[in-house]
Amino acid sequence: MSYELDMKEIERQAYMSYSEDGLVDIAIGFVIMAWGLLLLKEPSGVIALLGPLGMGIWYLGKRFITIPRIGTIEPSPKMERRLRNLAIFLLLLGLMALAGILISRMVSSSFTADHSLGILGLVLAAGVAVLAYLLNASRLYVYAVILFVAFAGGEILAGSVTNFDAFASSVIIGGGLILTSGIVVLLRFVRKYPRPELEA
Amino acid sequence: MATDENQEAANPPPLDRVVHEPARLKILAYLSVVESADFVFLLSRTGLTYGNLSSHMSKLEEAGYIEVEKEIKDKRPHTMLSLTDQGRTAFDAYRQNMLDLLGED
Repeated sequence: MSYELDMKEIERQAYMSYSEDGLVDIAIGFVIMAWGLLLLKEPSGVIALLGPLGMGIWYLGKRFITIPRIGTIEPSPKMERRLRNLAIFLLLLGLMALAGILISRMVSSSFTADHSLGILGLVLAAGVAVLAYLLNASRLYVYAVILFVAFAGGEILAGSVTNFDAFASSVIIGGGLILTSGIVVLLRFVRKYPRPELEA
Repeated sequence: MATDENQEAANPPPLDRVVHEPARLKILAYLSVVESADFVFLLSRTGLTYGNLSSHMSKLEEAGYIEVEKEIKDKRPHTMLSLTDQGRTAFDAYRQNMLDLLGED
C-alpha cells in the first residue's frame, strides 16, 4: 500500500471550485445562445456587451452561490501564473477571432471568406478546449465539440454566410445545450454543498 | 554504512504528533497547495464539523504551523488561514519521514 499523499488530487480538489459549480458553462452557453438570438435580429452593438455580461454572470454566481458554500482561496503563485496565462490566452484568442473575421470580410472570394463562420467555430472550440485543459474539467471538451459542430453545421445549413437565420438557429441550439448542462451542474453543486450556517 | 542503515531502521525519526493526526494532516495538505484559504473552504474540503475544525486550527496555530487572520468582510466575520514557513517545513518533513519509514521513494 502506498502511503504518499496524493498531492495532485489534493491540488485538483482545492481548485475545482473554478469549474465544479457550472458557472463557466453557464457563462459560455449564455453568451453563445444570446449571440445566436441577436443574429436573428439585425446584428447591433448589443453583441459587444455579451462578453462582459457573461463575465458578470460568472462573477455574481461565484460571489453569491459558490463562495458562501465552499469558501474561497488565494491561489498559490504557481496557480496564479497559470490563471494569468489563461487570461492572456483567451484575450489573444478573442483578438485572433476578431482579426480573422475582419480579414475574411476584406478578402473577397477567398477560402476564409467562404468559411468564416466555421473558422470562427474552430477558434472558439479550440479556446474552450484549452480552458478544459487548464481547469481540468473534461465536460468542457464536449462543449468544444458542440461549439464546432454548431458553427460548422450552421454554416452548412446556411449555405451562405449572409443567410443568418439557419446559422443562428444552429448556434442557439449549441449555446442552449451548454447552458442547460451548466444549470444541471450548478443545481447538483448547490445540492452537494449546502450553505454552512456558521463562520469562525 | 550498513550499520548506519540498521541503526536508522531500529530508531526511526520521531513523527511529529501535531501533523500526524489525520484531520490536521488534511488541513495542512490543503493549505500547502494554496497561498491561503478561508474557514468555509476547509470545512467543505475536510468534511470536519465547525467545532472540530476550530479545535484543530487552534492546535496548528499554537504549534506555529499556520497563521490565522480574522477580519470583517461584508459585515460578517471572515477567517483566512495560511501555512507558515515552519508549517511547510514540518509538513514536508513528515511526508518524507513517512516515506522513509515505509521504504518508499
